[in-house]
Order: sequence, then structure tokens, then C-alpha cells
Amino acid sequence: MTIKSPFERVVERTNTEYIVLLTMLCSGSYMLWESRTFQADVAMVFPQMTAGIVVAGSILLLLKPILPSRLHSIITDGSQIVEPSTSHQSDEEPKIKEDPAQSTVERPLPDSVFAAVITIAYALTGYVAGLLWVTPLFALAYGVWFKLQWRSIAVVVSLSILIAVGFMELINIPIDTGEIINQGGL
Amino acid sequence: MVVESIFEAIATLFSWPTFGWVLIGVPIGVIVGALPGVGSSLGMAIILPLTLPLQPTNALILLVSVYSGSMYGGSVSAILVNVPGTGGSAATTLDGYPMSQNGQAMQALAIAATGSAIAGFVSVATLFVLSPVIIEVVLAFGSPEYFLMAVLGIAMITVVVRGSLVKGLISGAFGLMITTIGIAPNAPELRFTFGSLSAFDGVDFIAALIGVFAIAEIIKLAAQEGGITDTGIEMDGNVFTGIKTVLSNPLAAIKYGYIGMFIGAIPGAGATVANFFAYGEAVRSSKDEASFGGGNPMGVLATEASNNGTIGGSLIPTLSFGIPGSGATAVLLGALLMHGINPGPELFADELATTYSFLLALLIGNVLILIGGVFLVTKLGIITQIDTHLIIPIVVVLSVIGGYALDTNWFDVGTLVILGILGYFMIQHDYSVIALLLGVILGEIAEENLITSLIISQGSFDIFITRPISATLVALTLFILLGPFIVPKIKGYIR
Repeated sequence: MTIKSPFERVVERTNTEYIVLLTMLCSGSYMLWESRTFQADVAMVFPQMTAGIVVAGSILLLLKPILPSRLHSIITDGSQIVEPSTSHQSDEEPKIKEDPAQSTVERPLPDSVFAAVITIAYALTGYVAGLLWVTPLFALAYGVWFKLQWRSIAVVVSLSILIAVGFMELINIPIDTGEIINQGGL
Repeated sequence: MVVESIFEAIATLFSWPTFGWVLIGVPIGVIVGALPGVGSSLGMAIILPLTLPLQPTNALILLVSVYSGSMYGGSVSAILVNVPGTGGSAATTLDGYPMSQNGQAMQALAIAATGSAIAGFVSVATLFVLSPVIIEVVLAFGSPEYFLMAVLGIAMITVVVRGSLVKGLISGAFGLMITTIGIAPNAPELRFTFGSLSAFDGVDFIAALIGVFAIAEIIKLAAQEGGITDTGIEMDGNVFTGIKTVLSNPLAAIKYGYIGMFIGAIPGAGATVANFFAYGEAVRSSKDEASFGGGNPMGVLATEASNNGTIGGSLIPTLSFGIPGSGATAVLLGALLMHGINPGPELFADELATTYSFLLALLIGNVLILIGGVFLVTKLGIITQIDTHLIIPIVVVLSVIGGYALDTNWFDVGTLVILGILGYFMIQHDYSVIALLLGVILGEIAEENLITSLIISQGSFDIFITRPISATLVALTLFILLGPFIVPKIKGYIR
């Protein structure tokens, strides 16, 4: 059994739209509840108004499969007032090949999942040890994972160092220091 | 005041280093526009933090120049490799790519450059002429109207973009909701901070913009296989034949420019809708319908003139009411606010010279597009051969470090990563990320104006229906939201 097969099974069983809706529902419900404790009335009006819409809308979309057909169509149908003409769409498929559930370089994780994971890892390790130090490592890891030529990896790593140093020198931001380790910086 | 401001704007624009930002911005725009998957919004979003050390005028001029260049840049890959660099060039593939296959690639690129330049110039010049009228309209607005304009903007986006109305509404409401994190604008109340000092300032809309436009897009882009084309591109055809085609049809270029301008002024409609709409109009008004789709130069002219025309149009709601007409203008609005300039009366009063200077930059940018597009046309094919995997790590580095640079606050980095991933899933399931961003951008303004209105009315919501402009905006919002459901039923009942 490879790492890919259980991952694919998890992906198949998970409807990512529910993740989006549950994120909205949970955060909206929390804000709706928490705003009741605010001392100032003017501070609670807007959060309650917006969170109320988010909660009501996400519940409607979550319950979509069991709603009566008329209500279902109102919730799911588009209501464009300006719609691009589709009668002249090209028959030819775009040349870009895109499959979010596959790896184009025969790695155990799909490309988009890896891109998301390495971005989170980059931000987290940057927080821990300082962005300046993890930036070239991130660029190197990305290049190696996607099997780029060593010359290309060298270019990407060099550019990433240039960007990091540029930000540090020009905008004077302390990216050489971490929040957990290396707190002293350069 | 207007004339003085125009002269001040001319002096500012042609001073150094301001003019240099136009010269830098337009080629960057052409490059990001030509890179499929990158486009104007992403390109502008990652440049945004880099403008922090610049003076507001220079920062805005750089960004509008990128915006202008990217509109033309999108046509390069559409024409050469049948992959639009931006959504606004999607319909350009229909005749642009067949022209390329017929050995007329350079002619098609020259038509795109000349048509883009003329339409962009005309639409921005029209915006100049309209600006005194816009000033009068903007000055008639008060707090209730500004709150309702924010609501109307989100309502319009939910009905203009594809997908369900409920999805659009909760996207916008979610964006508004997360702006309530941090200190309340009208009271000394901490909201939803979990006691964290870094959350006191709340969600930074620039971090949200970078997250949704850069992080979400690169996650999507990572799933695309390598470069767009590995083979050399045949750059055949004659540049001057292309220019002649446009110059012999100037009214067509102006007409499609105005179509773009009109559609661009509708929040959320943007260049993609204008692109297809203009193409449909070109086919409809042609005596040779059958030739469209096989390499008709008028197909390229219509689509490219219309997408550059949207620039002038989309700036009207952005500058007047803070309602961006497109993703790129959302970034531009973010830049205005980041540099301490509020859209609305301020832009047409104290900051009128700034407004005129970046409108002038757009006019000059169109001249640069024409010159660059015509004389550097043979080199443009190289851009489409860049491997996307070389771009992605650079975009991530620029985004994360840029996000941290906004306020040296890790909460901003967290915001951009979380909203980037959420934005990716939202795009996958047809939730409007533009509505989400509009909510994030307008949240604070909307809340301030709502609370001010309620204080004026002593807590009564009647203020939103008793003032003529407010009542009109409420009626318009209701019509936009309910019209698509009610109008067909009324029509059916009448029949």
C-alpha cells in the first residue's frame, strides 16, 4: 500500500465544500454568541448582522440536499444579470493540464496539496526561526519536490534569497529573527 | 480647482522618479499578464507590499501601470499558445490563436496592442471628462448612502459572478464578519481577539488580498503541468498590417472600448464578461459571421479593445464609492487605503491631483503599450515558455515576506495563509472570492457608516429609507437580489 492510496480515499470521502461551510458556520456561530457579551451596544450590531447572514446562509447550503425542490433551486441556481456569451467558446481544450488530485511529478502527494502544505510549513518555520533562514530551504525543497533541473533550482534559491535580503534591507523588517529560536538574529 | 489639479498632476507624473514607475510598471504588467495563471490581480497583490516605502502617488502610479500592462499582456499567451493569461483575454483565443496558426501571430499581437492602447486611452480620457460629474454625485453621499453602497456592491457582485446567490451573499458577509476582529471602530471594545495582542488591529485587508489572489492562485497553479509550451513559437506575420487593420477601423476600437468601459463599471462584471460581450457584438454586427473563429482580425480587435476599456469603467465605482469593479481594482483600492487615501470625496477634493496623476499615468501607459507591443512584439513569445514551477516559489516568498512586512505582525501572515487556503476551496466550489474580498475591504468603512447613521437617527433604521438616495439604493439592492427570481414570475403571470 502506498501513501497515495489512503490519501486518495480520504479525498474521495471528503467533500471540501462542507469544510468551507463548516468553517463559516462555526466562526459565524461563535461570533454571534460572543458578541452578546460586548459591553457597548454599537460594537455588537455589525458582528451580529454579518454573522447572522453567514450562519443562516451556511445552514441553508449544508441542508441543501434535504430542502424542498423550490427552495433548493432558489439556493443553488445562479442569478446572473450579466452573463458572458458562451456560444462562441472555443472547441479546443486549453493546453494547461490541471488535476488537483494528482501529482504531475509522481510524488505521493497531489501538487496542490503539496503547495498548500509547504506554504504553511514555510510560514510556520519562518515564525519559529526567522523567514530569512527558511526562505532558501523552502525554495530548495519546492524545486527538489517538483524535480526541477539543478540550474533552475539554483536560480529560484538565489532569487528567493535576493527577495528576503531586499525586504530586510529596504523595508527594514526583522526577518532574521525567530519568535521561538534564534531570537537574537544577525 | 479641476484645472489646477490637472496641471499639478502633469507636473507630478513627469517628475523623476514618478515617471520611472510608469516605465517599470507597464512591462511588469505585460509580463504578469502574459503568464497564464498569474494575471493582473496576483501580480498587483504581490507588488503591493513592495510599495510600502514609496510615496502614495508613486505607489498608485506603479500599480495602475501594472494593471494597464497586464490587460495587454493577457493577449500574448492567448494569441500565441491558445491559453489566456488573464480571464479578460479568454475570448481573444477564439480568433487570435487561429491567426497565429495561419502565420499572422505578429499581426494579431499588433492588433491587440493598438486596439488596447486606443480603447484604454479613450476610456480613461472619458473618465477624465466625467470626473466633474462624478465629484458632484460623490459629494451628495452621506453615511447612510456609503453603508448602502457597500451593501449594493456586494449584492451586485453576487449576482454578476457565476454561482448561487446564497453562496455569493455568505462570501461577502463572511468577509464583512471577519473585519469585526480587533478593536471596534466606534467603541473601546475588543472583539474576538482571544486575548492576543497581535489580533488587536484585526484582519489586514492587504493580507487578505495577498492570501486570496496569490496563495489561493499558486495552490491552483501548482496542479498545472510545467510550462505552457516547451516548443518554440513561430512569430510570423507583419506588425504594420496589424496596426493598419486597427487604424482603418478606429470607430470599432472606440465602440468596443466603450462596451468594456460600461461593463467594467458594473462591480464584479470585469474584463472577462466585457471580452465575451464585445466578441458577441463583433460577430453580430459583422457581414462575414462565418469567418469568426477562424482568424478574423476584428475578433481580436473587439476583445482586446474591450478588456482595456474596462480599466476606465472599473475605476468609476472604485474611486467614487470604494466598490471595486474587478479583482485588480480591489488591489488598487487596497493600495489607496494602505497609503492612507480614502475613496470617495477625499479623492475628488484634497487628493484630486493624485487621482488625476494616476489617470494620466494610465493614458501614458497606453502609449507605452502601443510602443512596446509593436516594437518588442517578436520577443513576447519567450514569456509564455517560463515554467510555472519557477514562478510559484517566488510568489510564495514575496507573499509571505510581503505579508509580514505590512506591519511586522505574524497575525497578518496567518491571515494570508488561512484565507489563501480557504480561498482555494472557495474557488473550487464557485464561491465568490471577489465578494469575500470586497467584504474584507469594505468591512470597517461599512461598520463605521452604519453606526454613524444609527447614531444620527438615534438607533432607527428608518434613516436608510427616508432619504431619497438611500431609498433608491435600498430599492436597487432589493431589485438586484430578488429581481432574477421575481421578474420571470411576473412575466409568466402577464403572459
